[in-house]
Amino acid sequence: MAVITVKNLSHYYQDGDYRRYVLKEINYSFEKGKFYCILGQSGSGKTTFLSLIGAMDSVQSGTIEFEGKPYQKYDLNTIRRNLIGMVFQSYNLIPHMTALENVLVAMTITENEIPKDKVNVAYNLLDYLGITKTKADRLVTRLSGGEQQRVAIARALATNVDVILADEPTGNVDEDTAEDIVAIFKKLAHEHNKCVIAVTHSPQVAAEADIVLTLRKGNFIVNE
Amino acid sequence: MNIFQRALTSITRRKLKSLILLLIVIILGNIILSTLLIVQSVDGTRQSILRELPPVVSLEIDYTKLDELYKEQGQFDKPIEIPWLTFDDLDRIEADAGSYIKIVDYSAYAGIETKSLEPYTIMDGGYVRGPGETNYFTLQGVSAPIFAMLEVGDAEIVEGRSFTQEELDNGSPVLLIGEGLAEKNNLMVGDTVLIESLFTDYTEEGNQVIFNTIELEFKLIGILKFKALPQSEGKGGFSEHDYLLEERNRTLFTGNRFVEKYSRESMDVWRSYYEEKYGETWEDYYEDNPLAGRPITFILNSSEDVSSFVEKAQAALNNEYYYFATQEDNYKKVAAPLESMRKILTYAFYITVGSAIIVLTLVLFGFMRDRQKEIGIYLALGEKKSKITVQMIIENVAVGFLGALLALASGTFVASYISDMLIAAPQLDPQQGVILPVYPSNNYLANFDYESILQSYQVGFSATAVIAFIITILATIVVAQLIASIYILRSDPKKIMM
Repeated sequence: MAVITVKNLSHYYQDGDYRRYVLKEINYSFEKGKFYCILGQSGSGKTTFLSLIGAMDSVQSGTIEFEGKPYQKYDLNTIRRNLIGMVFQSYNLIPHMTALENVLVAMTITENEIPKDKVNVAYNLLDYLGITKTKADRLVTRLSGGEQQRVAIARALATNVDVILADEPTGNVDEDTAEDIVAIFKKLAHEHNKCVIAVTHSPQVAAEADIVLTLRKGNFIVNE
Repeated sequence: MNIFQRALTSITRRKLKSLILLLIVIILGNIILSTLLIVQSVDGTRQSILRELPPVVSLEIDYTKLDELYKEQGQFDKPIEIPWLTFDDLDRIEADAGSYIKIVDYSAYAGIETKSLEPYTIMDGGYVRGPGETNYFTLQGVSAPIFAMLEVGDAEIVEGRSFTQEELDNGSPVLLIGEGLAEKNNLMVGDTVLIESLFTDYTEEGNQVIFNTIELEFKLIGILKFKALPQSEGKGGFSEHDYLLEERNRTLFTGNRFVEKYSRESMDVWRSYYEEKYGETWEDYYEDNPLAGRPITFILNSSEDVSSFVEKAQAALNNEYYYFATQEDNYKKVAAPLESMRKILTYAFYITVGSAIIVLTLVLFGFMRDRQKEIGIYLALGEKKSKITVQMIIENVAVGFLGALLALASGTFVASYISDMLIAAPQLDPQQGVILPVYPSNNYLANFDYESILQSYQVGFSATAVIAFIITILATIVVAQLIASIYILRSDPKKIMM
């Protein structure tokens, strides 16, 4: 079943009197249980697309639906808080907090149902992603890049959402770590029935995806 | 990690920023606290001094107004016609504001030159009035059996009694005198006091001649003891108390009617003498209104009634040439340097708070820019901007509260230092002649002394000042944070995170 459906989605940047379209009438449905990769050259609109389905930006034209309900009927904050988890290239963790606290922040902000024993849930989640309890209690600035990215994934998952969006998730990590992260995404999609959508430049990452969408001239070319 | 936990984490782990904010709050807090403490100490001194004083209001000629009128008129030798007070005015005041009044008193005065009484003097060869062998005494009238001096406690009857209403109404020749004068002249209650009032002039050679006399026969009905004043040393070894005691022991107290009758007789004697001597008619300037030019003393039921009484009485009187002088008016005149300091510091308080808001806003704005990524993360996680603002407020208010407590520890010293510095400033020193000395025109309004006011003044804490200070500091921080939170409102998570 489609969790995110994009209908006639267009987006442009105003350049004086000229509108430069980066996305043009895209139609696509993303399903749970699949790992999607979006490829494309720089400036092809990958990040713009991710920011739109990640509710970081408002839709200009067309619609994005979450389980059949258009984004326009939600407050963008609510979508980010309760429907979607995001992982960024530069991890974007709060530097003066521990790994555990970073995860707990997200669990406190969401309105989704979270088990009462949040701390244990967070420890387990981090452990599942390869962050031991000792490391979970460290400030994130004292963790390696790969470990920080695992914390970021744990934070995205902590809100109990069905959709994980990742913006160049392996861009700042070495090859081995990149493989581990891709493995995590696949596991999340296949074993936990999440819809994982990653934007990447990396053909290696794309090779592991269930579906690869290449953005060209504002639209998708689909490779299943 | 709710917003309180997030705030606490931020305070404890971002130590340098917390410390910077703490120091700023301590510095600004000390200035704000000093101004508050000094202002409340000045207010406290005024209130405690005024609380001790009897609730006296004096209706007097407004000399400031007269000065203005003279200036407007441009001619200082042309008298301004003052519509004197009348008993109708007093009736109107009593009708509208009578519920506040305990006693209304006024005094008619007349001078007596005589050899019949020995003057009371404190020191040998000291304060002696009157040329030659005659001595001057004052005949002071009263209008109520318990007259103002007795009611406010400036004097008490140690022997005998006060006047009866009948004696006052009839102008009976009955006297109250001070115990010093009584002792000096071996007078006792019940004695008949014969006073030969002498009317004298000087020959071309400078010799004193008596040209007429009025025989006065009084019955002494009571002896007064006057209240002691603080023994402040004055010029020539006399204290203020000594001068006042001599002055009062040279006063013969009787009813106003009697004084008015005697004044009229005295005036007749002087007119006859003048007309006979100079062959000219003496225009009668005797004002046949016993209230003309005299202050009226109102003793009220309570100090708390003063402002209400003045408001109602002023409206009832409707005479711009008179004003109601209160203890507070007198206090403010004498304590002008202290009150000026209060005024300066009140302005300083508002300026400091305004500056604190600007400084803190800039500092907090800087902090926010430094936390741009953190704010972006909260927004990307779907946190409401209002909650992020509240978190920042909690952080800063917590640090501010700590800073306020630390400022409280040092604030009294700083306040005392600033206060001492300002009191010693030449601009606020009454000795420099900037502040003119004040002489109350009515005996029953307290005669303040700036030095004694300064002795009562002490910079210290009060619960009100502490609460006001903490509220001010916290409110300042909240306002500064709210302004700085414009940064949060304008934050776009996409620009920060992607």
